[in-house]
Amino acid sequence: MNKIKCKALLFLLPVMVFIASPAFAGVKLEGSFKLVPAIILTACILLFLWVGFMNKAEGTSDYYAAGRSISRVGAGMAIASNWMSAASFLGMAAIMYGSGYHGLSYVVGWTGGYCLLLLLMASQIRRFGKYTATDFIGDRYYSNGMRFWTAIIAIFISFCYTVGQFGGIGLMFKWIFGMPYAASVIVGGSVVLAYTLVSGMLGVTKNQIVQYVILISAFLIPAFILTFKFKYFWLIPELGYGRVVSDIVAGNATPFVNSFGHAMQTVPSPEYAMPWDTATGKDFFQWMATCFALMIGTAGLPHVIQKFYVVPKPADARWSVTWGLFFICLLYWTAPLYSAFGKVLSSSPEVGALAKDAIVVYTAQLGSVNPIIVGFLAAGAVSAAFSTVSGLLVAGSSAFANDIYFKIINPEATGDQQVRMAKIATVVMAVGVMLVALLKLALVAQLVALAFSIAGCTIFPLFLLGIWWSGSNRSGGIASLTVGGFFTVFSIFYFICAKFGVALPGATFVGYWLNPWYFAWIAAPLAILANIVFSGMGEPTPEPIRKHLAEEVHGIRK
Amino acid sequence: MWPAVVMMSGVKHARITKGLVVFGRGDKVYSENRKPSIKRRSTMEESRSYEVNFFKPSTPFLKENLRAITIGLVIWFVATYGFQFLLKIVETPTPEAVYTAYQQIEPKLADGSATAEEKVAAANTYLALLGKSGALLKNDALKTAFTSTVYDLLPGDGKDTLMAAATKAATDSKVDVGFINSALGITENPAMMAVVPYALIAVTPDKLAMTDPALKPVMDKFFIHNQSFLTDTIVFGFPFHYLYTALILLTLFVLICLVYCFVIDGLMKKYEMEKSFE
Repeated sequence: MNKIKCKALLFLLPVMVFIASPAFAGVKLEGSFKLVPAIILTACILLFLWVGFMNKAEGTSDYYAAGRSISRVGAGMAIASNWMSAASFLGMAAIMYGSGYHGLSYVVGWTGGYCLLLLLMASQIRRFGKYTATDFIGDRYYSNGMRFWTAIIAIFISFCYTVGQFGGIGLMFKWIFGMPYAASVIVGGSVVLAYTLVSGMLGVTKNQIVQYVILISAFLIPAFILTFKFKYFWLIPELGYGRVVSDIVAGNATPFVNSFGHAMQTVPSPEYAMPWDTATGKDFFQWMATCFALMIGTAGLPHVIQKFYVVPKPADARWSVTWGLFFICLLYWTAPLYSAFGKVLSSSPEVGALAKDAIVVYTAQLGSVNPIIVGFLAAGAVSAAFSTVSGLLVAGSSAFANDIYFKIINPEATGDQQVRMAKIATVVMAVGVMLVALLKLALVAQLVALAFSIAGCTIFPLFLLGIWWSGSNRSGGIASLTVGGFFTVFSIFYFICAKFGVALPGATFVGYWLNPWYFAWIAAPLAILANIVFSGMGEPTPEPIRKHLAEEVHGIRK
Repeated sequence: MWPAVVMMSGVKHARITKGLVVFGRGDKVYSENRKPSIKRRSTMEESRSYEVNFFKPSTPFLKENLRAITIGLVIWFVATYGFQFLLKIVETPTPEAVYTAYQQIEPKLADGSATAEEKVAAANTYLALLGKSGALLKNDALKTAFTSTVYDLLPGDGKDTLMAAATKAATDSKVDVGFINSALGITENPAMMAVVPYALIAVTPDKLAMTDPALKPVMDKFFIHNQSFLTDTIVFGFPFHYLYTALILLTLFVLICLVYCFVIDGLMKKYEMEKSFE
């Protein structure tokens, strides 16, 4: 056994030495066309299309639930791929690079939420027997009005989530093709729109498994290289970068230089790692509120909840969450590494201000990682955004075509009419997202965090009480949705006014306590409270629903 | 009429009509009256058997399931938020060593009684602060304090060289600042040396000022950190609190999920619900 390990190491070391060889010296960080990354990116997109065509969905059930034929590990990978967007791939390292320990609230929030999902919802949602969050809420709260508003909210969540992704796609297209940001967003957005329209009903779930393998490889390989190259513990880079963090805090000298020849050393910077440091402008409350809002948002995101239907049994739903979380953690354990190396490699003022959202790629460049590997990394980032965006555009447009157009506006619509409406909705949504992405309202992770806050205070309370309390009825549901919706509109309105220089009364108070990235910290508990209070005042939940909930969802047999 | 039809499985959607809630596509209809009748009240009592309440589990399976869920949630909550509260409780605002020294020197700089060593220490403090953030490199008061302190340290002709370098540095960061590095004793510290060209500012002699009251809030903001034994203990190279939050906590989340899956699978087997329920 030891011989095998030795042979593996002997094989691995020369490979690591080759790919860690400096090849970026003298190359500008951005502003030029990069052929290799462009080829790798194109190859990845073609591969996704090919896998999609090979596993084309035969019908709605097959599309949504992949024929319920995916294994637990496969479903876990699909959950992870569906989950890992530009916000995970690029945004987390960016927020840690800029805000230090505060960025870890995103890492913890986006993983801890899966515990809530598993413990409170996963198998119960699967047993309830619906395909979408909108369907669940419409049926559980026996209200077409709630179905309509949930569909609107689901579309809006998809919209906000997609804006962040388009920002990430724009940055990566800018890096690969050397175009200005605005042109990159338009070109990148058009490519992802075309991809979505072509791939529409292709094998999404199996495609996501392939995408996961590509994403995680693209993310992990440079991490091994960076730790190996700079003599840290490279066999487990997630542990190896610990010394980088300590070096940043203490300002320790290293014998290494970045691709520009600048010393790999910072001035002592405890603010990078110390909790809620005043230098980052973020405090204890903001850490806790962001973390909590992201956790409950995770458990309320429609496209995440929907994933529990791709497995054959409720038990598989549970195991797929566990596998999914493990696969997600492989990336999340590693993301702070890019932030730490990025910090120490870009510390020289000569490097200048870098776009934080591209710090993952810049880090690999500054670390003189082989251009092929950096190209793979950038292609992985675009793929992460593509897989999520296409899923979100499909989710948003199908929420419109199925839940609003077919079930409310035109119940007599034919299949062709529904598909046409879905395609129109996809295009309208993509164009709208593109326009908002051009405004560069915030960092990718923050824009995505907004989607989580909305989901956390609108959909999460409805699912939580809808599953665990049969007394939660239509009146309570409407009240809950109203409270969540009110906070959403209120917070976003203040945010947009502040962005465009309009001074509103109490703007400082709202900007701190009801910030768009975490207003769910208070909105969600209030929505739950409203649900409980108004449920007590309304008509009881109809017995068919109570019976279904008791027998089918919780296994209470009389 | 409560209820007319009991049918939920297979329901695709619900529609609301006047006084009616309709499930399904018209083949199964359940209607809800606005005013409860005697018959309805008795039926409501029957329907309590279908009550689902997180805090009142009605079957042995649900009791054990909810116990496992509650334990998982408590561990999840304490591990996530409890640790951050602990971090908050034990923290002490701790100034960096250079700032502690600077606070002793600052009054002497103001009244002109600082020694050469103290001026070197002050200049290095300014430099360390300027190197922390690109935004600080735009702080003119800080750059003036640095340039003024270095100016005061240098001999006569060195002062002219400094002013010439400061003027040139505004447009060319490749300016020769070796003499400043030597004067500050940072020739072995590339991180500090890299900041010097960006720390200079061209000021006229009458504007020179080695200190500025405006610097205190900036220095407090960047030089004082929330530290404790949790942040100062190094494990695997990490400050412990960072290791815990970035790695251990995530691992714990996976373990909570893993253990719960095994527990619930065991419960399913124990209550023979695998086939009927799953």
